[in-house]
Amino acid sequence: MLVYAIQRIGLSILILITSMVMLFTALRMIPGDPATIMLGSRATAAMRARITEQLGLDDPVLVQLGTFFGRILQGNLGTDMWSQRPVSQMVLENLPYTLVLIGVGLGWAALIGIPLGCYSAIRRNSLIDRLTGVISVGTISIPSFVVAIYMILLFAIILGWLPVIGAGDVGDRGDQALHLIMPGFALGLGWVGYLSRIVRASMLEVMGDNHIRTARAFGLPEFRIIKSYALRIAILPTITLLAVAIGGLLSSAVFVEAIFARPGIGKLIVDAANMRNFPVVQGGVLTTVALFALTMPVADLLVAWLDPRVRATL
Amino acid sequence: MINRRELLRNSAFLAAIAALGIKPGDVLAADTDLLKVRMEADIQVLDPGYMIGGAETSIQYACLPRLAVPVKDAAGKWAWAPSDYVEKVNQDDDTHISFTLKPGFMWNGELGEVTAEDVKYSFERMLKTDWAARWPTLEKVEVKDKYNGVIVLKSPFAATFLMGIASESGSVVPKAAVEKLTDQKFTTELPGQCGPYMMVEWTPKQKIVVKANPDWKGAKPVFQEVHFINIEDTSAAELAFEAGEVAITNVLPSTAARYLKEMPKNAKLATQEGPYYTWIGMNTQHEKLKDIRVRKAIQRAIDVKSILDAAYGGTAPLAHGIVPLGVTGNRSVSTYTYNPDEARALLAEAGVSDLTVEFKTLNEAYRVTAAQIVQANLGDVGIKCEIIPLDSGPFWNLGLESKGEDWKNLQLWWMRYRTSPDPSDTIQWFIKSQVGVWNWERWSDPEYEELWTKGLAETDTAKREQLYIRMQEIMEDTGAYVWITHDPLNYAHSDKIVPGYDTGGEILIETFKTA
Repeated sequence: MLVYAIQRIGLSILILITSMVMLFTALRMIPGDPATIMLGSRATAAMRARITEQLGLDDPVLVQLGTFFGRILQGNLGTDMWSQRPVSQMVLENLPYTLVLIGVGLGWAALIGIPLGCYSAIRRNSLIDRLTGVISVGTISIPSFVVAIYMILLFAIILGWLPVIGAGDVGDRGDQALHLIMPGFALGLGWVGYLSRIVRASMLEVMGDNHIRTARAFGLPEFRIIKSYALRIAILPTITLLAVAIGGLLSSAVFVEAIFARPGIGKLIVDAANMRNFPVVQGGVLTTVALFALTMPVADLLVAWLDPRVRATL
Repeated sequence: MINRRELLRNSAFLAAIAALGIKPGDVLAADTDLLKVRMEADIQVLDPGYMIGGAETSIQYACLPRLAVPVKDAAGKWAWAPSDYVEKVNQDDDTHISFTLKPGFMWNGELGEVTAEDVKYSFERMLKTDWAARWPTLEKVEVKDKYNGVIVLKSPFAATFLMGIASESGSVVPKAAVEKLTDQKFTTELPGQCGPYMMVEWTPKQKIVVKANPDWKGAKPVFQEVHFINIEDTSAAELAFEAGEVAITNVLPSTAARYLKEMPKNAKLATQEGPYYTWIGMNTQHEKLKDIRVRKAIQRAIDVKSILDAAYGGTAPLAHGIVPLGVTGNRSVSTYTYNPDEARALLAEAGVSDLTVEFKTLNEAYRVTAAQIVQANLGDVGIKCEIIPLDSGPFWNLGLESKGEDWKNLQLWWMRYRTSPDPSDTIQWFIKSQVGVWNWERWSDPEYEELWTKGLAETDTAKREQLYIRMQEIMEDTGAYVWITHDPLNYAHSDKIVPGYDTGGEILIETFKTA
């Protein structure tokens, strides 16, 4: 188990380094002079020179890369091109909002999707199963930003029930919770269908296993069979899926963040990319990649810990 | 810049409106205790020497002193007037501007009174900053005593007020505080404040809170507290406005057109003259466009009215030059009009047939829409037009000789610049020394150069008006320009407020009134 853990963490570090080199290269391959793009048509020579110097764009690319990694190893993500604020501070300000949003979105999706999947599997081919199937596919196919827009139109503009903009007043938990309802719902809706389909398929597979048949032969109550013997096994693929979901939502949350004008790591990166603010883009992406790279081994280790069959193969 | 995802999102928004049959709702009424306004981009640099613009400008006007403020004159043109901070500010002669500060305007903290030393420090430091170009002829500021001083120019410069003193570049900063800062620069925290408002809170990427300054000796602002809410996406800001969460936001041209048909309840649409000028440029040195008759044929082949209807929802005015509305030198008429027959005749006279041209534009939805109309118009007169949408990186390098060889193959393009409210700022990009830099049309003219030099020193407004109009006539006569518009800034706002704006179309909260 320890060797496995070390292997997984090592792989994550490798992913992190590769991603950063790729990002660094990609940013510098964007056509155009970053200083001119950042400043637009009215850039004066003095402005361009200052930005070029500040970004170290005159240095050889390898020197820039070395400087970049050197800083990261010292825990320094650099400073914002314009405001001169530490990127790490900006990331720390924005990251919690995204994590909470993802938590709420995935949380409610799991709360609804997993029982729905179980029910569909138990009542296979029933009307509810078929209806759930149609709704699941529907929710999977609707982009979160479309859901967000319809929700705003309905609940904010027509009914006026929910706030539409921002993350709520700092320190006011109630206000912040209110501001999470629509974004969280919009972000999680697609995953309700996805989770229910995965759990249903997994449950159907497990329900056909010998140990379930044996449990039934012993006359155990159906609820206990499902809860203690079927769902415990069927839920395992869902754990891996949720880890993947966190990675996916780190990027897709940006649409919801933009529409609801919520702060967040995705929005921070996109806004910075639009302004070619390289240090913020690099710092933000490094953080999200690190999070994703951390989530995957945690999920793998969790599955190994929960499932003796997986443990036995290590 | 709109990308595929934004296009999808905006389309989804429009589809949602259509599907639900939603009519604009009732916007939030603003009261005098709290006003919420939309801020398009978060503040980055409040230092007038290194600012970017947007909300930064609004904060500078609200929280920092200045000697003069921009006002519209009787003819509707931008001019200047003494600010609340001064007893007087006076242009004594072409190169001397004297001022007398009112006593009693105090910086916050322990920074004391606003003095002539602060003014001297603030203006002279601008010469070493990114925005030194706003003060091209400033020599020094002489301090006479605590409240009196004289701004000395090396040579006359007519735009000293509108580009410098009365603009955001004319913000006065507290010398004692700024001198203590690293590199004598600041970013998101004002080192000292003295204005109708005080910036009291900044939550990055969320909001800025300003409150009425209780020690302010000038005209009291109407709203006691103003929140600048950071909403970067304009479609999202429009939704926020309709949901009543902000009392004012700028809106997209398509939304302005929709609002013109049916406004939300308790809302108004204000179209503000913007600082932009948009045109279609032609490279006069390109083999295909060398013949002026071909360029003039293209001028006459393009139906600008259709472009304004399709790309701007009919909300933008037709331009007749580059100097924007409300600025000295704005032209009200052109020497050419849309006339496809004349275009065909000019092409025939030039002996041109089977002409194919490339039209390059930034890849933004409205610009591509406009490009498609240009393509159809040129097709009508027998010119095949290939549209090439580009991202900002390659686009902004197209005409720069320092950035490669693209300028050699540049033919037609869609361009928009932003300007200060003085024609010298607007016109400067087309002089001879700008060929290969920002004069992508690549022409020069001795009369234009002479008028350019004259214009910088001329202080008589009527003479300047004629001078800059003549310069635009010269530009038009090159055949290298199809004037499109001066993009207006459309603001949707609660009908309970009367907003005020600066010369760049940014909102000035201290000038807001209740209706």
